[in-house]
Amino acid sequence: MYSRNYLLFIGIIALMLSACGPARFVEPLSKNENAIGIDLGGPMVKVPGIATMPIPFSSVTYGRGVSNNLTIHGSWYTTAAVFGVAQIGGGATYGAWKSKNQKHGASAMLGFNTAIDVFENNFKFWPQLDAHYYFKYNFRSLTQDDLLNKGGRPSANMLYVGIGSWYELSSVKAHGEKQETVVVPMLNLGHDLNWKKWTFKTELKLLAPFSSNEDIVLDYISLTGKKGATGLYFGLIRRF
Amino acid sequence: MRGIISIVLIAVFILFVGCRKRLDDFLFNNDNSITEYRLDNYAGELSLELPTDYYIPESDIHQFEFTIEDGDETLKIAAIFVGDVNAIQTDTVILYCHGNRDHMDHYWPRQKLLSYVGHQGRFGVLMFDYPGYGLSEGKPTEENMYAATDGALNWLKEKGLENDRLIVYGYSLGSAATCKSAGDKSFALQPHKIVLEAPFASSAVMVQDASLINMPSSYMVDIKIDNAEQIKQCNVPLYWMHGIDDDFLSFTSHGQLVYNNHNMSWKIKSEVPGAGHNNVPVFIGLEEYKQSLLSFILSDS
Repeated sequence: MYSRNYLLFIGIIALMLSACGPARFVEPLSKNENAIGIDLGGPMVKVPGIATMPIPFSSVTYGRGVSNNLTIHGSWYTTAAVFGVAQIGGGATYGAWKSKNQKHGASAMLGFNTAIDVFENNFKFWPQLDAHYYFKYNFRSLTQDDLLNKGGRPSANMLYVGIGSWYELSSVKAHGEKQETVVVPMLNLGHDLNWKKWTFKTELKLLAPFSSNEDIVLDYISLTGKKGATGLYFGLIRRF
Repeated sequence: MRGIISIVLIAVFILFVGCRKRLDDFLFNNDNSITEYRLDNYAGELSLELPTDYYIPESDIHQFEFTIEDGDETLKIAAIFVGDVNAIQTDTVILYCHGNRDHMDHYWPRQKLLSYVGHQGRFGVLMFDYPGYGLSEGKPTEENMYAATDGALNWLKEKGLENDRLIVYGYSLGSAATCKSAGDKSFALQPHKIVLEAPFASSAVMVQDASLINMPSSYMVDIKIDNAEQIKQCNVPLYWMHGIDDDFLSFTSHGQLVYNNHNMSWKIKSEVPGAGHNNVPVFIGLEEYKQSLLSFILSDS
């Protein structure tokens, strides 16, 4: 018998690297506002004899509001670094639309992920494109700080739903085989619990919901059954 | 803010300087806690359930050790030969390279089954534990796994075996040792034919199957096992068998790739419906399994 351990761990790490993290700055920051966030979580897998759990993938993110509609951000994937892989991501989130009462909005994010390992210097680049709709509720009273520093936005909690996508630019994979997966789609459903300076983020992510998760090295847990994987992410963001 | 930046910089430094974790160790799921091989009396999990009438006479079971060099160390490697040792100089022998689990007790039913190909004792069957497995000394690595395989071949050569009477059978992880022995001229003997049961293609395939995208295996492992490429150097007949429902090493991305990359025209395959990773002989049917191996071993083309 070939033990699952080895392949399971390889698969987990592979998926961690590709599963990225939660959506970044679904609602753009205000102009000149900064934020630093950490997040933890990943796809749910069944680890034989242990538990069904989300893989603890972690990253650190910095974002800055260039304008009230545009936030640029970058992320460093700390778990990948443990394995000698320098993985960073970056992007720009653009607030495409917002309702007059600021309860609803939509944004799009164009970004990238790059990774290089310190062993063989294998470099990869994956473009990323996300789009989200958000709904804000439980508005707090507008404070002087909101007026001065947040573009007049009162704080409120936020629900969001959207799609994400990673793009594989290589046409071939190992051993010259055809790379059949060009787009890895994701469906994101998240919630931001906001305080004055802090945000607690929770996100459920359906990863590759149209790709079979059978006959591979991992036992994925997926809301879509034998397709894809379901990720669970938690994040903490500090704005300043 | 400066504090946060300092913490991040320190974290970067620690992670890149101190933490370069590799997953290679997980390749070898060895058990070296035993003090003796118990064979038919082994109470642990077995790689295959055989009917009780697969009996090997005590006189046909030869446990022994040989030594290999692993860097500066000399390691004792445990092995079991089933059959008539004196017949090695005249008859065909099967070298069985087992998977990555536990030790030889776990794979003993498979060695017994092979010793019944033709009839009980028709072919001698040699199995050995990789370093760090069972009673074999050392810590398992890819390199000393090959060294142990070469040591086993050297023992067979000393007993009079020649290339044209050697069959190497690799199951799962053992497919790496098998492909290596057939493709590299540095081994003591080169097999006349090889059998691969549920082989894996490479770490790259494993990583890419899991991640969907073209992710380099160097992001996780250092091992260089690459059966999909190594098989191209194996200019000997191949018998490949793989469970179509193998939910571990995919029939298509692993086994079929290895089979397709084998360049010789003489190759046969058993694509086994319903079989998973561990039960191919059962799903083929034990009698048919033995008969197909016998035909492969005895056929000239």
